[in-house]
Amino acid sequence: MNTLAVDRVNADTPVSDPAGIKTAYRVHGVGKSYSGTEVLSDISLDFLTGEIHGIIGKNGAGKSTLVDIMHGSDTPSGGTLTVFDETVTKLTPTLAHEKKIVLVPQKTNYAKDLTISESLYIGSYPKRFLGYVSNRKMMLLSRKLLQKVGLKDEPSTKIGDLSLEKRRLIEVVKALWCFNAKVLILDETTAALGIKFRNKLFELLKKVVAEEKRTIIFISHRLDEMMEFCDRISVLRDGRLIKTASTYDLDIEDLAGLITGGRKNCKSFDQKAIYHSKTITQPHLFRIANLSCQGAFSDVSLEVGIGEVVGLAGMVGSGYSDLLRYLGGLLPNQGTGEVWMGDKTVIPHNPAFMKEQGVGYLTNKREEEALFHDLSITDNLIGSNFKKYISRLGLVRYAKVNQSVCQTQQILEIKMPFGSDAMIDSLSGGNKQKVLVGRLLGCDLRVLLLDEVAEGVDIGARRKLLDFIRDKVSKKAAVLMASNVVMDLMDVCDRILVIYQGYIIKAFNRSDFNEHEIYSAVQGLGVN
Amino acid sequence: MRILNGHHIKLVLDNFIWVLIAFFLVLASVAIDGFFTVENFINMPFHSASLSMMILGMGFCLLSDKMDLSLESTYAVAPAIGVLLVTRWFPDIPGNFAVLFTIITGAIIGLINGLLVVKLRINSFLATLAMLIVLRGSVEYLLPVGIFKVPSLFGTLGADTFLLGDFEIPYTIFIYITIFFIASFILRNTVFGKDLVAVGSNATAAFIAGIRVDRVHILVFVVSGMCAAFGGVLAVGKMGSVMNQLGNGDILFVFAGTVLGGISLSGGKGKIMNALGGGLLLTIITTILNYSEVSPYLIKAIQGLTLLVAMILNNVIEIFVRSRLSR
Repeated sequence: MNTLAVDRVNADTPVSDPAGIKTAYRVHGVGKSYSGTEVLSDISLDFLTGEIHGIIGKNGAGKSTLVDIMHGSDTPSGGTLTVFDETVTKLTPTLAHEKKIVLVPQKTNYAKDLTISESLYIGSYPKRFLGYVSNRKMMLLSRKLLQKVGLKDEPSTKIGDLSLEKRRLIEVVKALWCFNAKVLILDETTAALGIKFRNKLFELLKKVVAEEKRTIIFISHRLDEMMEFCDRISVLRDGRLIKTASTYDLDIEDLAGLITGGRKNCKSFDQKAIYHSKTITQPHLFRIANLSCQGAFSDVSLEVGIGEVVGLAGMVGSGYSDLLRYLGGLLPNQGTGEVWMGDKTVIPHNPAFMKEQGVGYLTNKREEEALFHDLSITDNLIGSNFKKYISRLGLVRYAKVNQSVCQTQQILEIKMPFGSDAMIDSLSGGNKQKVLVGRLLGCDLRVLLLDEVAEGVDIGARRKLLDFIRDKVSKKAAVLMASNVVMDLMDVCDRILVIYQGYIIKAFNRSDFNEHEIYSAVQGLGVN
Repeated sequence: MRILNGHHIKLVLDNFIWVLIAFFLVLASVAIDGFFTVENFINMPFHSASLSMMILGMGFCLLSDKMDLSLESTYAVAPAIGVLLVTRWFPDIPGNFAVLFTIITGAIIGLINGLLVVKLRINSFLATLAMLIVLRGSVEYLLPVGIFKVPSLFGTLGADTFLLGDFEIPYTIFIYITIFFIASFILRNTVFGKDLVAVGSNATAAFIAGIRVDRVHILVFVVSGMCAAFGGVLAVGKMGSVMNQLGNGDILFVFAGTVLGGISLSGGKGKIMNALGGGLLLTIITTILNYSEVSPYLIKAIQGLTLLVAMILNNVIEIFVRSRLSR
């Protein structure tokens, strides 16, 4: 038994209430380390029947690792898992499914051409004798389920024709009544949903939990919905369980404090502030005025100068990704408002045009939207810039290309164990990201739009990458970078703008940086 | 040492088509009397030239993650229009211009394909399938009976030979191999080639990186149309006539040759010089079958079977070796 965990409430002792509340799922002493780095240490939690249990923490606090362990897609380095008083030694997703532990993941691949009823019963179709699928029965059952949750759509509607929110709801319905989940894990299920729909979903889940004595484990970034929806909340920070408490005993400010680790600035950060001062030339180089885009962001105005790094902090789905995509030319004809480059207005038609204007965009979907998986590191690093290295005859001069690759490799410290002619997929995530940053640098840009530049990059490389952006990139260019990781932005940025539900609600100058305040603003605390 | 080994194995795997060719050539030379002659070894590349030009066109398309089924019809319709222009419609134009007109026709057909696919967003398989039928129908209408006298330049390119020692070597061989080298060079050493492969590998990423994806795709179709048209020139020259059934049904072999040459159907992967090998292997197989006196009714079945075996071999060895390597 761990005596150090003073804050822990009810975590180690079994709860057996006279009201029939049992421990549905117990996680005891679970830890996980990847190649020596500990990402989770000694987590002990009890999830009770009939409770909605929230797990919250910053990015990298260990939430997703814990979720992976709990539904069997990752094996813990130590500790035990107990499901309804039965200790499970080796949990796999299949076994979890048998034990009625069901995960609704953050992102799902939908089979768009299936109907609602088919997607509900896929894998366990109701059968008639001789094994035929009984479509009639499937329709009837699905219609009942849809009525239960107040959806008026016909069960024969194609999944692809539904809104994202309805698809999410169908996922939940499927988990609850088709898979009969006793323990339902919702991993950021609500991140992309509108507020009305979220409330509707919560109402439904609360009712189900109360009536049917199920357990819901709810992972989210949003403090407000956590406070409203959950019975108990567990806070994770740096892979440790900081506190488990009933929502009655918490207020939202305390919770924010627990998550960020206190209201004070950390010391290491203050030192960097001095190191950071630099000169900004052309402060009005890149300007946005009253930019709006239906359903994504509203009335955004900001400006970035050369030598300046401006951060956009927000939650996933708060609109920063769409803002950068729009500015990069990926959402043409969808926004209203003005974008100025120097004293010239630009309309972001397409990425090639924006690049000619000196604006480069780095997507947050690295694997799908940025990398050429069939090609070599060199080809990925140069990307669309081969025209810079052609001779008078129009031929690519490989000597120059290789020279430039070498230079970029040295500057960014890209590790290429098999040389630059090896396939891009031989690199680690961090080095891939460096390659992409290197590609942008090769374009002679004046404005860089970086979306989640440090996502999926390991700790050491992240530090270096951010330092590089601060020290080198921003000397020649204006940088607008967006992230949901406040600490990353605080390390790099001269200013941080907080975007909440599509609006920029607050701005912080470097001298006023304070993680707690920024985090609270990201959560929308003190707004409305 | 181990890394060196892996590197060599990978090199062999990436160019596996040449291993297959060597295998079939050696096998046939040993097993069949009269196969191992200089004439035969000149004839095989000579006969594969026109098909290989279509394979080249398909290679460009597949590398950029598109398909062009209309190649085999372009192969007939382009020389038909070229020859008709100088013989019937404008008899004043010197005959040899027909070759130029043929290539231009190919380019225009490619442009139409490209615009259909890029601007109207029709799936390339479907758009070019329709073109395949339309063009074949057109050439049947234009040339109900063939033209049996074609301008001399066709013959020069497609059939004429020069003497090297005691052997007559057709110009065709040099011409088409040179074109493959140029194509390979373009893919490796020009911006167009680099962009093309990037687009084929990941079109979204290429678009975001600022490559004009649409422009690349249109150009690819134009180039592939021109390749097919030039293949038509070689075929017409070889036979000395233009027939409306020229190339009918060849598209399947074009696909087979391209894929045998290791060019991935999903785009971005493969080497154009290996597609040349793919075309060559198809001709070698046909030649072997001709020599070995199997029933002519069986030839197609055996061709198909050989293809299947070649691909199975290719994949099995690849899976086996790669799993060893990654261990």
